[in-house]
Amino acid sequence: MSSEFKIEAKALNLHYGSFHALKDVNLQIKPKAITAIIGPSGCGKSTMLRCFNRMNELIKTVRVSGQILLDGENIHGSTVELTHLRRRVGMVFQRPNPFPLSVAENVSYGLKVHGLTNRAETEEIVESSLRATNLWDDVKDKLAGPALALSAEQQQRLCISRVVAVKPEVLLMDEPCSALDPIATRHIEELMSYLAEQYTILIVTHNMQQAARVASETAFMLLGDLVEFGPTINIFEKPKDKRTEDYVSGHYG
Amino acid sequence: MKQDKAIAFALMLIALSAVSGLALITVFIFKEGLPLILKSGAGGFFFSTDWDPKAKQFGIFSMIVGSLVVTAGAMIIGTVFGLGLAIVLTIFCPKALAAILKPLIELLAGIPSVVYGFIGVVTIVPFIRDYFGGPGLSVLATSIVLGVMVLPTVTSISIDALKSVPRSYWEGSIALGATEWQSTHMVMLKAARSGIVAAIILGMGRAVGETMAVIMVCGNTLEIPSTPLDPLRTLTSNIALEMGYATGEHREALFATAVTLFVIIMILNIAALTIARRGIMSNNR
Repeated sequence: MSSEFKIEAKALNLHYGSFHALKDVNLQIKPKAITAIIGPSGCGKSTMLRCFNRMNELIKTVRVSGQILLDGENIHGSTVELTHLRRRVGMVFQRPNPFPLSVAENVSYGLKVHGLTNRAETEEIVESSLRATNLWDDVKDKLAGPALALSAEQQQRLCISRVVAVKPEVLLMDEPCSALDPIATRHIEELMSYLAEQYTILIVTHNMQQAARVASETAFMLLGDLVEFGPTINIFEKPKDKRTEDYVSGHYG
Repeated sequence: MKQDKAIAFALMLIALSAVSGLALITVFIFKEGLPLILKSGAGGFFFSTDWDPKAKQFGIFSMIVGSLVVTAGAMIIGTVFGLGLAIVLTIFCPKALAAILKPLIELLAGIPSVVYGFIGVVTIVPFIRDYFGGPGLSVLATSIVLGVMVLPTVTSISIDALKSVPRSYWEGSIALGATEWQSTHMVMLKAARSGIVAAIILGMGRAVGETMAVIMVCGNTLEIPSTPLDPLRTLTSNIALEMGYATGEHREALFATAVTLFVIIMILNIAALTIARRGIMSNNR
């Protein structure tokens, strides 16, 4: 079953214990585009993002109801393999979190856990994944060196390479630049725009300018509600909802 | 102010006396033991299997081998079970259960070693004798008893090491589609490696130094064991068994055995500290 949307959330509710973190959220994500989720801290935007690869299930008290469709198929379905889902829907975290392994081992990690043992093929994918994030020229001479010795920006690029290596369809990025300086942020944003040619990208950001710069569509969340969702330009220039207007114009709170 | 200074001075004195106690013990053991090692020479002391105090032969090679063999056996048992337990308690079992089990395992460390020896003698030794043959008092029995004794050390330090691994590593691995087990052995164990190695080395130190339980289950013979079912004697049991009646050179030889033991344990402890410290630095970058 195909659908014009890559991901659809339908009547999505999420509780942490008794706390209602996501309230009846409906969201449609277009393929091969960047969609941003913005909102103040604690509004549920990261929780929202973590629904799409079911990372919230690492927390035992979480209950989810409603549907999330990936290519029209319910990701909570009984036939869905979690490992396979997370391969299709990759995630980049707020703080670069390369493993304490070598640069090459970080990139090949995903390949290894998904059963690729062919060395030549692995090396090829490691190189192409590092090229895809513009990291190859910086690290080609230190592939065997520790990943933790790289700069913060390089580490975040490495984390993106690591996800790209397993050929995902969707990239979830949870404030991927908040631990980076402005120049590194610009580089990562350029990288996102480039990657959006191939991947469906969802980015959570507390930086409104970032959403305005990179995203074609933007969702604004507040206290677990999806307040407004639409083309980025509409959200920033003619928001329909008063709360959106207050937030994007800086009057919030 | 004056009172503060007086208290600080008193505490300093107490601390120094503890440290100087350690120094004095070291000096004393070496002073008593070293002359005999020098006299017998390395060949006659460390590498001779001829231990016959009446004939003034003091070769401790069979005991060095004995100590090393049972320590190795104990570490295999202690590491497999201890690390396994640590992994289960930190990663796979519910937090509430882990909170009960960890203190219980640490309680094992408080049981007197003579009790371990006693349990070994009345259960493990006859079991081995009946089902595997030999006298029962053996490398195998000693390794099992020591393995259980080092379990709390290995487990609790490994748990601390695994807990100190940043959670973001775990999330990063799970988010790439790795299973929990893949994330455990490919990321968590690697990240916690130095702490785990330190845990094993500290456990080793305990195993090498254990005396009472070993005397009760090792058989105390003077031959180099050739199978796991053979009895043996360790450096520690040699000292404890003979010190009561030793005089003259025999007594010096026992001190020399203690010097050997002392050096082995020092090396293990320094290795553990160095590795653990290196691990802390690499985790903090």
